[in-house]
Amino acid sequence: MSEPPTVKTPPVAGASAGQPKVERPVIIRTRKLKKSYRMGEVTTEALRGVDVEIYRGEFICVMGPSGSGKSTFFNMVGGLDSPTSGRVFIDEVDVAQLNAIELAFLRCRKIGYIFQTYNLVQYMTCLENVTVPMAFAGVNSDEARERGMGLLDLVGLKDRWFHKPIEMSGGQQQRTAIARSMANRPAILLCDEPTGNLDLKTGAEIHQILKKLNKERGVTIICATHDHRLIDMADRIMWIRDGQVERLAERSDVTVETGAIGGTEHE
Amino acid sequence: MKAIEVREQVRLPLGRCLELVLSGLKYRLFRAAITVTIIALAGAFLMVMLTDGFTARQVAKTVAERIAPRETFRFWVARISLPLMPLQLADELASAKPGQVAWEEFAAWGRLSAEDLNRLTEAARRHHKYLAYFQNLGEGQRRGLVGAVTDEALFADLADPAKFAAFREALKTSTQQFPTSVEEFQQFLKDWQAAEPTRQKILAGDAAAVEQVKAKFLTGAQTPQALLAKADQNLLDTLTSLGFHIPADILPLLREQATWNLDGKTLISLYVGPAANQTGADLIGAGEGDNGGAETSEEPGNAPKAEAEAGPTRKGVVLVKNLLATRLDVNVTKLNDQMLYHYLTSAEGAKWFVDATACDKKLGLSAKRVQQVAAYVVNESHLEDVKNNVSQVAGSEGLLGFNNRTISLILVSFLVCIVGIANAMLMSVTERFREIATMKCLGATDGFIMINFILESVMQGVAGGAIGVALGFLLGSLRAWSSYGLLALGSLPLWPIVAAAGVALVVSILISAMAAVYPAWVAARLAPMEAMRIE
Repeated sequence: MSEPPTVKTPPVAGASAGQPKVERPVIIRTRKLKKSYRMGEVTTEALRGVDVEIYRGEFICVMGPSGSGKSTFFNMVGGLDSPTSGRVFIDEVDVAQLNAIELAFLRCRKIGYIFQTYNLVQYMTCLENVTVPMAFAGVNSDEARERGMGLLDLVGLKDRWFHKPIEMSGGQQQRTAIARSMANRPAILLCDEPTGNLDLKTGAEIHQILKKLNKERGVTIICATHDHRLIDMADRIMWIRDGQVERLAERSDVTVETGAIGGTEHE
Repeated sequence: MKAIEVREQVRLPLGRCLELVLSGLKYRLFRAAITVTIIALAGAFLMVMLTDGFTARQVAKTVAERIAPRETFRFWVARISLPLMPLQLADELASAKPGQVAWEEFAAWGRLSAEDLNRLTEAARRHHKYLAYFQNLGEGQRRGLVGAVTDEALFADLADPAKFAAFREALKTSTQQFPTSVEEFQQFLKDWQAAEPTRQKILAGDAAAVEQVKAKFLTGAQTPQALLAKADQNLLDTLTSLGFHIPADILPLLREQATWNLDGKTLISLYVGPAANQTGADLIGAGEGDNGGAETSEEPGNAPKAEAEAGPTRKGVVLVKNLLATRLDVNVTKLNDQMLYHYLTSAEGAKWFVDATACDKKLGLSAKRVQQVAAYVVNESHLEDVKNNVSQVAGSEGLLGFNNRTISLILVSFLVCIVGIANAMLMSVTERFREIATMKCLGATDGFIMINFILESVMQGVAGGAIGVALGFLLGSLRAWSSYGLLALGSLPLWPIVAAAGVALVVSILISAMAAVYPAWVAARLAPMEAMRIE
């Protein structure tokens, strides 16, 4: 994958606070992003004009109560859904102008997805799960196998490559899912509550892996979460409320109160 | 803005797709088994129908071959001893062709030129067509059209102008398509009436010939069967001079069939006796006196010898009957011909019968012959049964020899099958929403998802079709065996059955592929963001 040209961030009207002064390469940019859903007679506006820039190699956490439009924002920047109006640029490509096959291509190579419920294919082994996206990208099976084993090694599951998801713990499944999301060396990892179904200890393992990917491989990570430790790792934090960006702040500008979640966190 | 340059996206080779689908199917074995069962049932149904149809036609052919000598014999017995009926004549005329036996006979009796006969047969063919129309009508419809008139009087009746006018009116409201225009029909009625005298002439000629045969040969107790049993060239010449053109080459056939027939009659006469219409109660009453003798079945000679000279007697018959009842361990009132004949087809039964009727000098048949004759009679009734059974199936024309009802039954079964499979596949899609959506997130195109599901269904179709073909063949042969007996086993035609198996398999696969189109489309259309949903 060749490096996309570095684009200078144009000044966006109404850009949120925390906009850095230095020019950094932008990987995802939204312009007046709006999305509304029709449910019978009622039209719900899930997003009402979001202008955001996400930089290459950044670790950004997205927060917001349910119904805030957080999921819709996720779908938009993940190339999973098209906006009602406004634009989404992923790596300088206007998602709205892509057809179904081009979208599939984009999802296959540019973006990795990590789900709260892992979403592994139940009848495949650990390694087969990891190599599915490679098969879609046309990688031949020998190479896919080799790369898959490398990725499993990265998440510490090399010895378990032949296990089926049902034979693994939640943490192991999520690690497999991370390996799978990295299959085609994406530029962006989209994590939807990656530790939502895990206990604290396993969650911490996942955090470390994500951090490692971000630091060592320069993968941009966009993460929806309520886990304060994860938020603590982020470069920036974004709050969404009522379909709009409420606040976008550098980590250093935010005080994260460890132990705020029911006071159960002790490290 | 640059667009994405799409290179090698999701062109998974078919083998890889199959592998994926197979492992998926293995994981969801139970659901797959249900779908396979549905397909297997529909495939089996089609296969049964096909096997049944092919077998029936083959059996019909075999039966027709085996029964042909008997029918020829029966035809000539009737021809020389019974005068033709008008409808029978019309029927035979319709199928008569120059050079044939019937053609010659009609020409001789009616003293007709070839041209006259030609005209007559042509009219008879039209007659056949119209009569078939009226015969196929429901009783109510027919009554509405032509009133309560028999087939015989039908056309003479319609020749009456008043009646015809009424018919013409009634026809306008009829739902059944009349074979020709009304004008043509009217012309036919005229022709048919005009040909009436000619037909009468043939009938009269035939009746006179039959009378002469009766006067010359069938005097006293002589039957036409007995006459044909001794048929020789002399008899043939005499009959030919009377207008009966029996082909010389069927003489051996006639003699043989007549002998079977006569021997069969001899057997039954010893059992039923001269007073064929007496009731069981009479027989029991009459038999009571002989009970002492009947109990000791080893001594059949108890029957009075004086009466034995006069042929099968009432007392002798009762005796045989009682003995047989004891032998077969049934009540004498429940005995019937079938039981007698079936018993006689065994060597033991035939020997017993000869012993039991030894008093009767009239039998004059060896045990072996009794056995053969009994087998002949049993076989005949069996052939008749099969012929009646098979004519319903094999007689129908149309696609693959199916009648419309069978075709619609098969189509309905396919429809039910398609709906069943579609339903099962839809459920399969619904419970795999997340899996499908995840696949789409990982880069699967709509086409891949669609092909995946259709492949899955096709594989189920292959499995179900194979099972259905095997099952259907088994059921079809069993069914054929139960309705046609052993005849069916020899008549299972190899190549048509193989072709039927191929058709059933291909159809099973096709309908499962068709049924999967909608569910596969639903799956393909699924938004990838469904993967994010948490239940």
